[in-house]
Amino acid sequence: MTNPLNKQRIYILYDLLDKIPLVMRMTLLLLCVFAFQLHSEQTYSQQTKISLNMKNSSIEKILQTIEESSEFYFLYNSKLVDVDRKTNIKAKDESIASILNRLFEKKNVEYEVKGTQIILHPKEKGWIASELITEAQQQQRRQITGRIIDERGDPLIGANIIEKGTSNGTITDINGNYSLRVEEEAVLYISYIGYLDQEINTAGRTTVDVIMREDTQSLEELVVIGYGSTRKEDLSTAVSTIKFDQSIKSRPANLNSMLQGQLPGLTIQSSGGDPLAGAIYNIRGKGSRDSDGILWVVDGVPGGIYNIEDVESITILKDAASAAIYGASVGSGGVIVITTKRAQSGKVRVEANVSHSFQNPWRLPQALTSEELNQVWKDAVDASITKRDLPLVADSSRYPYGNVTRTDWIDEVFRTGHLHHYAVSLSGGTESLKGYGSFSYDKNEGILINTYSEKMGAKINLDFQIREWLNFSQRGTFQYSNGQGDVWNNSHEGVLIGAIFYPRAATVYERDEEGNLMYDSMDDPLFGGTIPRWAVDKGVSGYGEIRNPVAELERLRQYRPSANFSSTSSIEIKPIDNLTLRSDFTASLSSSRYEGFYPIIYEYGRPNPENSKEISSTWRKNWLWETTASYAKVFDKHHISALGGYTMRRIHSRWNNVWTYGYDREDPFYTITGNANDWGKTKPGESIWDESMISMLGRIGYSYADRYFITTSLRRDVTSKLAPENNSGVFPAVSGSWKISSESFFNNSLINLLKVRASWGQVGNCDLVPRYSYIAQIVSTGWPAALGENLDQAIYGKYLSTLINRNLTWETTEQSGVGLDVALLSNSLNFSTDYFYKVTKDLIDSKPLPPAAGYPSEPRGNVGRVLNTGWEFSADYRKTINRFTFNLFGNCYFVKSEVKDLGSRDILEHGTTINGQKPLRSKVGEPWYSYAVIKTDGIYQTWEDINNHIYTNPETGETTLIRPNARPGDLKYVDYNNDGIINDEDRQYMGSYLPKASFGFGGGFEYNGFDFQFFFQGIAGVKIYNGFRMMGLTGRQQGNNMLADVLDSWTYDKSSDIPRLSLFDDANGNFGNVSDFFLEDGSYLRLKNVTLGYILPQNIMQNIGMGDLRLRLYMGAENLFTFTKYTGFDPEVSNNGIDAGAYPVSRKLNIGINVNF
Amino acid sequence: MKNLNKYYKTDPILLLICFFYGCSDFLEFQPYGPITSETFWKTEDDLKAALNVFYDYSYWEGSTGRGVYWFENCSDDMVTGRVYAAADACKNFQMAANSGLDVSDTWPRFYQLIARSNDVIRYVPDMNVSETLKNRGIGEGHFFRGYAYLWLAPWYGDNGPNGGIPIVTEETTVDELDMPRPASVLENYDLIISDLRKAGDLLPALSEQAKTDYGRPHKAAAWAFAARAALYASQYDNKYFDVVIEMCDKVINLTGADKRDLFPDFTKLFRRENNFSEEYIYSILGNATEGPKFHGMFFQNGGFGIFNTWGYFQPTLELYKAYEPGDIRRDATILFPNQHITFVGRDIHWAINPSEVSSTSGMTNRKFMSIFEAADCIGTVVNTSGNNQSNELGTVVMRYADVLLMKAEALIWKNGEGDGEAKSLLNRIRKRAGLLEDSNATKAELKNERRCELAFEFLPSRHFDLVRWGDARTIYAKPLHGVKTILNNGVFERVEEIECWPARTFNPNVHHVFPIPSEQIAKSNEILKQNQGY
Repeated sequence: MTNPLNKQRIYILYDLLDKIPLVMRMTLLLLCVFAFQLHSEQTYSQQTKISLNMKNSSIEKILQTIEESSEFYFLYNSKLVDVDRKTNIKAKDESIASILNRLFEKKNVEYEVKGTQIILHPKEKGWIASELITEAQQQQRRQITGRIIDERGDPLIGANIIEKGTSNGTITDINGNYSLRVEEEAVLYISYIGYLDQEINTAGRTTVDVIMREDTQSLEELVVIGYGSTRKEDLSTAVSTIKFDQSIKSRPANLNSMLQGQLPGLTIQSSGGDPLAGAIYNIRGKGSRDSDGILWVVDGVPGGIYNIEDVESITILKDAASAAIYGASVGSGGVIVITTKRAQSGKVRVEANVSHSFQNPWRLPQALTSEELNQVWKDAVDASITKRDLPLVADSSRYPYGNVTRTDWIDEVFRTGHLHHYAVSLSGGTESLKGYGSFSYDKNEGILINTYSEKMGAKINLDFQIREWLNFSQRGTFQYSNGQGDVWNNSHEGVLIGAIFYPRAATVYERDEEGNLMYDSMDDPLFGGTIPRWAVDKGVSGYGEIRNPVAELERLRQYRPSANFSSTSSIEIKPIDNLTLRSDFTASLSSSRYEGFYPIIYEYGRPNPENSKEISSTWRKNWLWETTASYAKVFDKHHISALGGYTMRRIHSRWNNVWTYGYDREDPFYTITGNANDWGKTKPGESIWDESMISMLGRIGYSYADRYFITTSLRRDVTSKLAPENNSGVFPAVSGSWKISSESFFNNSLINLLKVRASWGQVGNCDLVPRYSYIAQIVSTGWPAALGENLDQAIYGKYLSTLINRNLTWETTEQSGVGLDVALLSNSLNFSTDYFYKVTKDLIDSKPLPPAAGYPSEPRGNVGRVLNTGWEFSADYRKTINRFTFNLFGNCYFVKSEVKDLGSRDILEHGTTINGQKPLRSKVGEPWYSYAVIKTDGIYQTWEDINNHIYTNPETGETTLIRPNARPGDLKYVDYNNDGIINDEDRQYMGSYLPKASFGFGGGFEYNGFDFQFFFQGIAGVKIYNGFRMMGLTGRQQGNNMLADVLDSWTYDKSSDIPRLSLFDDANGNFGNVSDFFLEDGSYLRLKNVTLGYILPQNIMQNIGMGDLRLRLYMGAENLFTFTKYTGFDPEVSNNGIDAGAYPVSRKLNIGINVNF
Repeated sequence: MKNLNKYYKTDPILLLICFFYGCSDFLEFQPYGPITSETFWKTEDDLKAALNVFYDYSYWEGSTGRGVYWFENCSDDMVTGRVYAAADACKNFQMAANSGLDVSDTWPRFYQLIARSNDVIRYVPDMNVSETLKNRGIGEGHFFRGYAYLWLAPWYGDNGPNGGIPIVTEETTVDELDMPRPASVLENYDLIISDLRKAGDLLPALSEQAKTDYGRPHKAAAWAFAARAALYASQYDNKYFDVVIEMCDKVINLTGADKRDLFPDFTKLFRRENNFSEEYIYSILGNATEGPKFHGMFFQNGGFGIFNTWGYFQPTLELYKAYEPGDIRRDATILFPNQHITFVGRDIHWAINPSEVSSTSGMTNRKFMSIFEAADCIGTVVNTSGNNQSNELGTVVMRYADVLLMKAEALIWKNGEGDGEAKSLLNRIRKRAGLLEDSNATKAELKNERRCELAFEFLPSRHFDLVRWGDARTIYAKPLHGVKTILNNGVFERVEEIECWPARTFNPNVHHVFPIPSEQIAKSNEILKQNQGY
């Protein structure tokens, strides 16, 4: 390889790590002796006599034997010192010096003894200054000493220190210390596997302590793949990894937000800012119809649970070749592998992280003031054909109360929310028993009043090394969460649209005519209605169907605890060399509950005359047993590995719910179910089910001379969800790569790695298959019909719900891909690109029954095919100059999706509605979930425009007006099918809510204890249907208040693209048709995160008596700036891209502290 | 037995056995909850449950909500009271087959009812149950099959060029389900009439029904619906007038406790307490928990902030003026400006206080509003959810007055205007309406009587009447009108007539039927053909 200092593989690291527990086991006495020996250097090596008799053994083995029979440690770089050489050695009570002299005689290896440490190095390279330069020269050189530690403050053993531009260098000892004589202006070049190289100018310094930063992009790094791991540079499949380092954990966000934009190929669309909301993940485009399920594998356990605090790294297996080993079951969307922290032996390390964040909405729409609203009404009435009356509530002469602005509802429902984060983790132990434990607590108070979530997580992890060949580990994870939110914002009802609709003359709390607050019988203040009670009593009335948005939030009364416990017991046996048998048994239990109380609503608007309470609870247990055998062996230049496994899983779930009605009182202490007056209105519900799966898997890998890599895998899954004769699926995969840079002909000092990859594979999905789908089921009606003279006979019927389809089988995603990896400039610049071609076929979807069949639900069938193709690019650059380390990285990802086949259907209409409209359809030839809308061609400015918009019948030559009922100021619709009328058949496909491009880029630096990161994230080629605007521009024709944007409408500004005021008449359907007027560009670019951290200098810590404590203070911001053309609250609207007033994603400011010791 | 096995399966030893030998039992479970189809159709309770499922259609939006009422909304009796582009397209005869209107749910709902009836007709004869129950079961099976087809056939089928709608019976196999349309809708009407005849034979008479069974079909209901089917068929073939007369006579000639008659006071006919008056023949029932959503769809959108009524389907001035002076039915049907109505205990002085009404015609429907009168109606007789609207007023789909009108129509069309019996039938209707018994039994009089008597009911349909009488094109070519209330200082002064719906173009060769929902066409393997022109 090109630069040995960069590419070295210090296998000794492994040996040393194994030795550390030995050191810890030393008795105090031994420590004393040791201390004494340190003072009398060389004495140990001179006095210790060793006996050996080994034939045809590798140097490595001989050194190991010496280590085992003495207190010596060998430090060496296996790339520079040939320890594979086999030799014979026979010694009886010989000194170490003598043995080493014989071992390395004429082999160009030098050694240096420091106490019990023995450093081996090649002679000709002149690693030790004293060997190469004269005594006199030595005297002119300066002695530099120092300590190399990692970010946690632990010493790095065997790190390389080289005087730059020379071959003068050394490596650190077991305590991380080194000393080196260098020239006056020397620059030290420090490297260590898995860490970023650093260059440090020593001018004027005699002590150079260095903190090494982990290299999260290292090619040497092991990447977790299914049932094993491999070196990143040896991968032949497409995977992306993110290390959960300090900078990520300094962010005040949830996992979804943290991962957004970080990994090319992964699209995450958050479901808004509700503290209870999740996100939608897509890997390499949307394949399946509804369930692009992603399999989360936590420490090897599919479907496992994790606490974010424990996460060490996240890897996404993007191509089918890498995911196929996990087969199927939950989805063909891909696999996300989470690796959590494991215990490390040694002293107990403690890490704590505490932060506090403030969050706010970053943009809020404006509603009209009362005065503006009344003016708009007047203008709309003046402009109307029928000369309607001004509604009394908008007529300031008759209802002056309504002409005063009293409340800013948007302002009232939003607040500054707080996030609290507390986490602590401990790790430590001995070689035979290592332990890890963590605890974390998070509270998220949302930006809408009275919404929150809280989470608690705990984990314990014990690793027992029983024998050298036998390991056992036990880990347990616990999670608890609760919260309130899930704020309903659908179609025309909900808090956010309510905050626009609710009249601003109204008050949060009800007041009498004199302005005094009014109270209910329990002395609680009454919420204000759209019109005050005194006015209602005088006969004033307005339109209804809206609720006081503050009251809606204040009345939220949810109890939704959820607890998860998961235990994994693993045993690992190494019966012979190169073979590992492993068995993991995971049992988990999850229990969650939802209780909601819905009080009586008295105030004018949209009353609710009866209170009710809902309770539902879910109890689920599952177990998973996975057993694998893996074998790996190296023959000369051939590396082979093989894996075989057998897994079984079973899930059992129980759910039930109860609705009760009519509580006399509403306080929480009274409203237990038994106090309800009516429990007969809604049937109690219960659902019990089982699910199981058995799988077999195998994988074989082969590589030759670090140049050619090939891996093939096969998995067979058998599921209980499908009919027994069709329940198995076989998922093969193959991948290969060619590391051109390892070829002998490749000799380019600029390029460190050049590798091409290709892969093909299949994964399956049966998530959309309903359980017991192959059994014909007679089920009960969900609601009672009424019969009888008194209408009190509530009857339920039974019916055959659907015809069954026993032929149903797995949905399969077949994916091919090619990729290229390049590392340049001493691996400081890395670049990867991937192309993929992903076909999801045999889509599981409802299979149409004939139109006259008469079954309410359709059986599932395998119909349809979807194609996703795309490109991924990622690059990163990192460099350390002196104490300044900086990095830049970026990725982008383009995907093109096309529905190829929908079975007998041409078009699927999707159910997401806005104001009764369904803008989303899927059609062959278009992307999934496209907007099918009528195209508009501006606004009719004059009557002439309307009269010129004509249709000529090709047969009769007769001409008709296309929009006979239109008026100037109305939208001009395009008669797409050219039939002279505008209706649903004129809808055109105009894009999707799934982005065509996703990208992220950022960078950062570290200098003198400061660290700084920034990260931008965005999506492009995405559309949003702004239903919020659709409703907010008309008050929904119910006299509700409106968005201030109506002041920019055509009525006021003839160049406007907003049609004329349509407060009560809209014969052209400007606000009733699904049109592209509501379709907006949903692309955005976000400054997703900025973080600045500072590690308190060691001397300050020492001065306050906490020398071993590392303290980092940080502050940051999430979503600091968002650049978008979208006009709603926020472009992350969820709801399949139809903005019905989604709880907006917030902007967060964060301060925190990390403590390690 | 199978259940017991499951517990063993979690035994680790057995797991090991599974590991080495494979374990197919591990992968099969019996579902909790549903009965498997092999074990159904055995007991009397199974049969009762199978009969109860017939009423499942009674609470869905597509079958008893707006559903086919969008079609009725094409009539000259009403205009759409709210902004709704898809509804406007329908009313203007520009409806697309993939229209978003919830009438697309009507077809599947009633084909479900047909499938369930077929199951009953198929399985019950072999069941080991009491003869009474068996007869009732088979009778209800035939009743609901005929009834279900009658909700679909008129809207989608014709006697050419489109033909009828797919005929699925108890003999149709699964492979035959994707079937072409019959050549004529008369095949549908024939099946409906034959089913309802059988139902009439097998079902109990109303007097034989337990009061707790009210709402289930009985003989008179079967005959009356048979008459309606025959009346609709008679537009294509005069011979069906005889069937109309025959079936109406079966109802008219009932005696004793089964005797049906006009309820004396029309203004009180649509009240909860008169759900089962002497005029009752068949209604779709509901209560505050579930049921038809029809009655609350007319009144003020948002119900003035009191209860969420929906504001669709507002009466026209054309309908208002169709009533002769003195006709008590007018004010019992239409709420006109300056009139009062009690809504959830509040006095509403219509269009005066509150003055702002959502109705585009300035008027609204009063016929079914009695159920919303009481201050405590919400939660007692009306669903607490304004988004549901179910209530205890029976949704009348067949009453005695309709039987009289059907027979009168058949007589006039068969025997000519001035038919003596037709006169007396019409005069019975007129008398109750507070009018002179001076009918000449002309076609025009019959049409107007039918319009005024049955306006807004769910159904028969004014729109369909106009289509089958051949009047639709002329009538729809005229704009529709409403009123605008003129106040003076908040006090009612007068109303002004306004045009509230422009003239429309009705093509009798296309618009006599509506497009079959496109999703149904898509489900067929190109066998089900769409109606021409759509």
